[in-house]
Parts: sequence; structure tokens; C-alpha cells
Amino acid sequence: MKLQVRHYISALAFVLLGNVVVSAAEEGRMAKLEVESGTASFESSTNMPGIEVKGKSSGLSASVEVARDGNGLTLRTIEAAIPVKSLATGMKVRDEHMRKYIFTAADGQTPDIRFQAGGANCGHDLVCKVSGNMTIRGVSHSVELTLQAKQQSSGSTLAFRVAGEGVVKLSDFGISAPSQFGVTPSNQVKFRLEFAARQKASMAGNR
Amino acid sequence: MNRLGLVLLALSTVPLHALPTMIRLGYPTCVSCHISPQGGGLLNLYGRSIDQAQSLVGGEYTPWQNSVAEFLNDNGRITQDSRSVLQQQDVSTDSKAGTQVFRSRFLYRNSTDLGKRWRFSATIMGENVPAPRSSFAYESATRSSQTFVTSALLSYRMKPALEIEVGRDALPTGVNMADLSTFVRARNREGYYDTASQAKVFWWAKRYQITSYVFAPGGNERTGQHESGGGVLTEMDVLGNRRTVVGMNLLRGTSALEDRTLIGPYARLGFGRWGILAEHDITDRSLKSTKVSFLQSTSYGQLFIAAREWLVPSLVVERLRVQRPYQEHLDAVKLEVAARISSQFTITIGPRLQHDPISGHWSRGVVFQVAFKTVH
Repeated sequence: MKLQVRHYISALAFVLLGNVVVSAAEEGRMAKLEVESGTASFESSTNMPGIEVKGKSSGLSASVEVARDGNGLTLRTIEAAIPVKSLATGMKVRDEHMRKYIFTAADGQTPDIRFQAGGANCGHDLVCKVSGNMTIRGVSHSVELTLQAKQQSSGSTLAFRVAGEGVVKLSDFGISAPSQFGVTPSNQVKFRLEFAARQKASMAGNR
Repeated sequence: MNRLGLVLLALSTVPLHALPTMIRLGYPTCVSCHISPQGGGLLNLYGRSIDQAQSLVGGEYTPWQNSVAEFLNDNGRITQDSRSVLQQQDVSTDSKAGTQVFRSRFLYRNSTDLGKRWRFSATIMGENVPAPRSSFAYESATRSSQTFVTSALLSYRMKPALEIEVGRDALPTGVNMADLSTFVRARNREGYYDTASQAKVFWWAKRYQITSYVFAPGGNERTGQHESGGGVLTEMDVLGNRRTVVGMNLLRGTSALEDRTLIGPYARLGFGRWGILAEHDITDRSLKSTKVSFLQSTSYGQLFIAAREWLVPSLVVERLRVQRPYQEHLDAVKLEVAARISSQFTITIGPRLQHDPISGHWSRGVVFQVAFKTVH
């Protein structure tokens, strides 16, 4: 029993010491991360109790500048984009309606959905409240989202898994919710982002 | 009951009237697309658009709009269609000679809005060859008929998510799969001609649906098997993502010859392109004349994959166990491919293999079916 307790204490000390060493090495450093694989999903309730619309895209691309310091993680800039064509609800006709009625701009183009944000402090728990601008069919509006990051050990390279969610109102972007035989989606659309981000190779070498 | 007959009956009724596989797209209840919250039967306008969208032809659904249509639907008060199902069945059991049956069935379905949230709906069917469910030593099949009213209901939608229905119809069931010949349906008085008189209440919300019902004989039962009783069907979307529905069916029925109590947990799970439907019904039967009680259990599992929106292959496994003194064991596997060519045409092909572990006999069969319906 004594041996076991000693073993646990040694292991705990090792882990704590290890974390301090990693933090110290990263303190004050800035790094540019790129999304390796990401998904964006959304859901919207409708005026009918039995119907909800959900969709997903695996085409999320983003780059994030972060800094590790004594206060935790700071996001300097975030830029993300989702090609409208990559959003799918599982039904071809519904996808066509979505692109046509939600994402097609006045000039007939379907520009990517974009999100840009400046700085945000994530603290030690790596939970970040991010305020930025989302652009849908060329119309920008401020949007807040909450991101939860988890640092992943990957040698000397910074790597995170990030999940976050927020809500947009279609009306903020000048979009009227389309109606299909009496079924109309809600004006509020919940969205969720999940991605793995890793420090760019060239930056990692300079750390 | 010879095994050839069993297989023949097991393959005999595939009306294709309900699509629980729509759970994969986040449709956890039938009322999204069907006029009746029990599912099956006529589609509402939104359902017709989804029906069209889920076909090979695809595209937009446009309601039929001209003076003839306005006359037929009484300016939107009447929804109706005609449906024809043509079915070819080939069946063989071990060394016995095979049997071939061609069955054609015609249905007329009507739902009339009576105003002030009242509705009357009915389905009338005619067929060239009757398709009764199996009869067993402990229970006879209801009487079949070449013309038959499968449903006649007066409905009142009290609130947007609360409806009362009174009339004649199939009793509410768990997974609500289309094939009435599956063990879980055919062995629990859910065959084609089992249309009890009933009153039922449907209450649904975003994450649950509760259906309670009382029933009385439909009139076509055999002597002594005019059953009355009641039940409740409760289901819930466990994860709240509209794709994980788990429920329980409880039913108690009594007739002059038999009392039965059914407990049936079930699940409808959807994962985008694929999903799982499962039901396990345990029926406690007590025969009054012999004072014999025994358990019957029926299991159903279906793995389906939407290879295309219009093309859905499924692997179905079934199991039946009946205790002594009516001991019976059957296991079956079926591969079914349903192709929805357009909102009017659906083609289904399904080879089926059944094994009796007690006798060691194997039965083989295949069904080819073409279903056509008018869409206005």
C-alpha cells in the first residue's frame, strides 16, 4: 500500500513538473495555427413540432494566431471560412433550397460564409468568448461564439482541439426564412464548430 | 401449419406505407409528413414534397392546380389518392416444390377536412388474393376479405400537437415498420385484416410522443377471439438530436379465449445515411379454456443504409420464440432493396431465408413488388 501511494505521488509530481516546463517554454510566444480538419454544423427548429433542419460541412478552413502567456491562451486573430456548397442537410432538394433562399446574394453568387475576429483571452481553462464579424451572402454582422480549446501534446508544436458554438439570426443578414408548404425554419440558427488546429511547420521551427 | 405456408405468409404483405427509416434525416415522428400522427396513409403537403425529393426523379413537388383538381379536392378540403401494389412471390422449403403467387392490391385513400379541426379519413382496399396472417394452435387469423375497409377514422386535432381519433384502424405499434408479415407484427395481431375498433389520443412534442388507446373487436375476428383492451405507447428522443428515439409499447387485451399482455421496447436510431430499427415484443398469453400460460417473444432488427436518397438497402433479422406447449423457434434474415423511382413508383425486392432450429428446415423466398400511387 505504501509503495502504491509513493508511486502515485511520484507520478503526480512528474505530471505537475512536466506541465510547468511546457508552459514555461511556451510563455509569451506567438504562434500561427491552421485548421487541419474541421466541421461546422447547424440546426434550426421550425414552426412544426416534429421537424427540425440540421446540416453539416466538412469544408471548414481557418487560421488562428495565438499566444501562450502567464494568463493562459490569447487568441490574436481568427479567420474562418466555409464554402456554402459544402453544407449539406442529407436531402438534395433541401440543400438546393438552402443555397438558393439563404445563401445566394443579390448578384446570384454564393460567397463563402466567413468569420473574422480580433483578440480574445481564453484564461487557463482555455474557454474563449470570441466576438467577431460573420459574413453571409456578403452581409456582415457581429456574432459571439464560445470556444473551448484542449491543448494536445505534440512535441514542440502547438496543437489544439477546439469546439465552439453560437447563434445567428437570419434577419441580421437580411435573410427571410424560407417556407416549404407551411414549414418555416426559425429565425435563430444554432451553429457548432469543431476543429483540430496545429502550428504551422515553419513557425514551429522558429519557436 | 406447414413451413411452406409459414414462409408464404411471411412474405405476403409488404404494403410500404410507413417509412420509419426517415429517422436518419431527423424525422422522429410520423406526423411531420403524414396526415395521421400514427403514420401510414396519406401524406400532407410537406410530406409529398419530401416524398418527391427522396425519389430518383427528385425535384420540386408542385401540387396539381387546375379546375379538375379543385373539383376533386374540393378547394383543398379533400386529400385523396389511389394506390396499386403488384407483388410476385416465389417460395420454397427444403425439398418441397416451390410456390409462386402473384398478388395485386388496389387501395383508395381519402382524408376529408370537415372544418373546425375535424377530419374523416378512410382506406378501402380490394385484392385478387387475400393475404391473411398465419393461424396458430393458440390463435386464429382474422377473417380476410377481397374488399376491405382497412381504416375509417374520425379525428379531432384539439391542439397543434394533440389529436383524438375514433374509428377502425390498425393498433399503434412501436417501430411501425411497413412489412406487416414480420414476426413482431403478424404474431401480435397486427396483420392486414386486424383493424380493431378503437379510440386513441396522440400527444407529441419536440422530444416525446405518447399514444394511449382503448380498443374493441373489429368484427372480423374468429369466434371467441373478439378482443378488447387498451394500451399506451411512449417514446422519447433520448439525446435530443431527433435521431435517437427509444420507446415502449404496453398492451393488455382480453377475449373469450385468451388474455394477452404485451411489453415491447423499441428503438429508431438514425446516423445520417444509415440507421437501425429494433423492436423486441414479449407477449404473455393465457388461454382460458386450458388454463395454459406461455410466453411468446418476437424480435426485429433492421440495419438500413441510404446508398442514395432514393435507394435504401436493408438487412433485416428476425427471431421468434414460443414457449411450450406451443413451442416454436424461427430465425429469419432478409435483404431488402427499396428503390423509390418517383413519388408515384416504388420498386422493392427482398430475398428471405428462414430457419427452424427445432426441425432443422430451411425456407427460401423472394418478393418482387411494384407500388404505384397517384399524387396530386
